[in-house]
Amino acid sequence: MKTNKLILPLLVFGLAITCSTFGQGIYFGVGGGYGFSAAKDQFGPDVKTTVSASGSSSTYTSKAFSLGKGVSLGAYGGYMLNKNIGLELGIGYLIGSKTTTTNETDAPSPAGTSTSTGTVYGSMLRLTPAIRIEAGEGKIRPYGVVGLIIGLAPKATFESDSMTNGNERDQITTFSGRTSWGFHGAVGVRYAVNDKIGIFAEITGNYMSWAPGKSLITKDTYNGKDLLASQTTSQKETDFSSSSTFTGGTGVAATPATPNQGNLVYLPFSSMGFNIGVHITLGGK
Amino acid sequence: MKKTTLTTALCILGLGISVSSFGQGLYVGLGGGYGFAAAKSGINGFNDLNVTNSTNQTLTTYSFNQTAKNVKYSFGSGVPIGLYGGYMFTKNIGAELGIGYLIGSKTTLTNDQTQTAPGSSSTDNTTETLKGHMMRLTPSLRIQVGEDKIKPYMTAGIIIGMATGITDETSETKTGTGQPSSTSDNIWTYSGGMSIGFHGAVGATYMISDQLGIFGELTGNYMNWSPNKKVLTTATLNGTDELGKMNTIDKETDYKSSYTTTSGPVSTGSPTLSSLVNAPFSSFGFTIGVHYSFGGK
Repeated sequence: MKTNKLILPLLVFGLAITCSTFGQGIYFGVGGGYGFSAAKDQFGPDVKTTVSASGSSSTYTSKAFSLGKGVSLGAYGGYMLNKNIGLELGIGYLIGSKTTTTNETDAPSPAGTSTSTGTVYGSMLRLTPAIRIEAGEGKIRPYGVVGLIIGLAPKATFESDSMTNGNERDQITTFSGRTSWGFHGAVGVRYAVNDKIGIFAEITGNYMSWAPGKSLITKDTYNGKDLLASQTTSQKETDFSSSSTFTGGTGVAATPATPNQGNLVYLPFSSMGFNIGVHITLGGK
Repeated sequence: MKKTTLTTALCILGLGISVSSFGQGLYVGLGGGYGFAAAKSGINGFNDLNVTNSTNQTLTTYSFNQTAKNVKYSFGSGVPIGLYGGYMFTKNIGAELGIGYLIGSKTTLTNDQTQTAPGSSSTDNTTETLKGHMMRLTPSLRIQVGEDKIKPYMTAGIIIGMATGITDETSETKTGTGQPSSTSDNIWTYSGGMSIGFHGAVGATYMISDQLGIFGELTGNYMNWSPNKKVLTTATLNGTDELGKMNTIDKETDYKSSYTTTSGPVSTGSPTLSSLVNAPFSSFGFTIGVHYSFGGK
């Protein structure tokens, strides 16, 4: 068994070296960077309300978001069909950054101050099959990459926390399920340290939206006391689909033991940012 | 005045020819295609709804049935037409500016509701049709390779949306036992505000001659747009205008990134204030066209 496991990588490695000698070469690389929100949607405004004896005043400030914002890490491998054009597959992981909205009210006693916050962030495993076009002959080689991005195991977490009259309610809802796909593009420059090793810097865009298949409340506490145990499945879980039918009325029994049904909701997962990393060409081109 | 304009044009043309003779050359092109909806979004979701309610006279039995189907949309879907011009700094790298116009495709939503009870029934059928348009600038980098007749290339850059608009037209018909039927039509227009996003394309040019080529490319434009204003431009009930009876607060909405409201009487002569909303304007499609290289490279 161990022998088989050893033979397989050796075969792959051997094939890689063989291919590189016939064509323009196999290449691979690793890198990381940061993506800023792009193609955003509105998360909800920040609201600041002040109540006084003479009336009230509320200020609303828009807050846009994309779950694609955050740190991205990844690796890629590909094959240059000729000195200019290659095909590659990348795999990466997004560690999403948080976006928070706040709703705060200041009122005279006894109402006092109440605050609620909502925080959302995402994560995603991403495959990026793409075409690479490279130019240049010297140490500095401009390139562009265009292809698809396929989102696997996407996840979004929504945390809400409210404090009213000294009472705190905490809730965490996770969204998961279904895959998504979109557009992946990058334009950058590679500096060749030697024939095989180079360092690259690129501007990267990933554009996609995601419709989760399921939501689940994983935490619900009031002043630290767990509320989840007393909730039914239909109160905690929602299954999302492209078409849903609801029936009700006399004689139609409620189904608390099954998830609630909802229609798909599309969430923005786009980003535009930068990556830096190391590129290795086995063919040495 | 005419002389100055002519002189300026000749200078630019002369500069263009001079530049093309020193570098890899100026190029221009024009084309059109189709973009399919991409990076769709919708926090509130758009659904086709079909709802049936029925009750008996004593309300001892009641049934309810609702079917909701997702409608996927992006206002970026539609026909883009445009032209571009640029300069190749080397045989591989160029910078260009494109200008184009998007004629958006329609997205239609329906909401059909039926109520029945002994001796009476009523229906309420609503159709909502939305479409967008946008003037777009696309400053981009071009990476082009190949020495022969077929030259693969890639462009990547920014897309700037201007003069953007969305039209939202709603038509509702109500019927009921013992009641006259009624039809209302409303048209809302959204406008104002610029937007920015990502533009990319990958394609190939087939050179018919040293200077003239035809190209085909896959094109992606990714952006969302936040309008500044919403205005009700048409409101009729059974063909009679209703706009004249309405206050500004009912007909107009101003979208602000930040605004403050205070308690007290509301001015009906001013627009409603609202936080920003985002409309998806992304697309992924194809473009074909003609490419002309002055440098003949």
